[in-house]
Amino acid sequence: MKGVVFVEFLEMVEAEFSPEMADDIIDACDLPSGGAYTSVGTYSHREMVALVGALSERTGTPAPDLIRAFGEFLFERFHAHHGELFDGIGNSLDFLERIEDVIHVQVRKLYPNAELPRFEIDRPDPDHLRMLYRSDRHMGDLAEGLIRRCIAHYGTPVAVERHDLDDKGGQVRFELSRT
Amino acid sequence: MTETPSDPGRLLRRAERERRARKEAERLLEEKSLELYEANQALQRQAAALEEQVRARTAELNAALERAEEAVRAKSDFLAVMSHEIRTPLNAVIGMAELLSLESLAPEHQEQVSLIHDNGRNLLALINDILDFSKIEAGKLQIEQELFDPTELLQGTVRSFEAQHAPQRVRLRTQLAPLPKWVIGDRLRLRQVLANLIGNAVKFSPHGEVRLEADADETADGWRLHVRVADSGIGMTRVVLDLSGEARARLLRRVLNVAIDSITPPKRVPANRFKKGRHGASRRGCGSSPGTPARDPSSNARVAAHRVHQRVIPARAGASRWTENAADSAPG
Repeated sequence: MKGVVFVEFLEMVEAEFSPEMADDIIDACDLPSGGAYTSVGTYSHREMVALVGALSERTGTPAPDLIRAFGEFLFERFHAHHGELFDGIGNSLDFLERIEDVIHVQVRKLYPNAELPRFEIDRPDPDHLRMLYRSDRHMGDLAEGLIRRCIAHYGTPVAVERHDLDDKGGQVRFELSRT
Repeated sequence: MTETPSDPGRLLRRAERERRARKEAERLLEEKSLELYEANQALQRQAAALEEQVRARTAELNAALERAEEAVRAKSDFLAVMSHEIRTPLNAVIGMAELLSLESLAPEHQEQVSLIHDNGRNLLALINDILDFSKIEAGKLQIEQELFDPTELLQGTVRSFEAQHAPQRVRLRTQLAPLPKWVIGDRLRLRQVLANLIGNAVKFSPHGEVRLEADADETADGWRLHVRVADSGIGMTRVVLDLSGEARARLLRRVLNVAIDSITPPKRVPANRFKKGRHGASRRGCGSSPGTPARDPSSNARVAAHRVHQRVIPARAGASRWTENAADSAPG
């Protein structure tokens, strides 16, 4: 997993909880990296699982909720740093439809060896979008947080139905309908 | 004991993480810099290889061009030499035929001598054209600047055709407006162009009329001579030179018909067949005319024009005078 995800996660912990909380969860986990993350580095995704577990334990918030919240935080950071990717796109369905062909292409330019999740996109009509998420990192909750924040960002109401196709969050189908 | 936010141990651990993160970032930066350097070196090597390929290909093309130019020069030189070599004995044949024609010969022999003479002249004209072509290719063709009387030149050219083709199927007419008495230009080339135009007009007119017209107007830098050759022949299209297959075969049949017609008595064409207009035009099957193609209700013929423009430069005092009598220069 790319270091930028860890850096952003700790940013969220510091912002939403406290810098001490960030220190504490790092100290609580036996991390191979020692918690010394740099954006351009690459680290085991197990470190993320450990950090989220430690945060959940300390805050009493279920891990899936924390990961969804991180997804929403990550979307805002993404928008702040790469606003040009939103140019000319007027609604969330149009943006999400381009995730593989445009967004992931741009991400690979910055991080050539990034292991990104795969999305199968189906747009049967302008008001509906079907996204099939697949990832060995089992971050379906992170995807949901990103999707929900994207919808909130554009403002147009869109209903999201989530269907877990396995019990680990590695395959999830999202059905989006403009309401 | 619980650590406070400013506990030295917490701050030290945070500082250590930051230091390690910085070191890791520096290592990655060095790694990426090295990758970039190597990629840049590879690109430079590729660019150099491409430039070398371009240089080599350019040199090959230049060499090929030089060889091609050399071949063209050799061909032109050969043609020029051969043309001279052929003209010498041919002139002897023509000269001998002319001398023979002065002798008292039986009519049948007179005609045979005349055939030798005419065909010799035709062959000589062909060889001269080849020589001109080789001169043009070799860049050695010079346009002369000499003083000549345009009226005399035009009339003389038409007279030579009358002499060659009379009696014949096509009537030659000359209509000249008053022209400057003397002009400067290449007399030989103008005559050559006119002869080609008139020759083609006669060749491609099964019957009717070929007319030479000329006038001149004054421009800021001298007189400009306009010459038009009009005929009532089969006409032409811009694509006629690109014809192939059936279309070319049809054209050839028409030319052969013209040749066959040449042994039949000539037919007169009414003067009103030529209608003047502002634009010259020619179409296949519609003759060549100085004006808008006009349908002749009696013969269904149309006409259009070949135009020749010759810059006229006033030469010496009186060079731009008009001829005294317009009728003198416009017989026909």
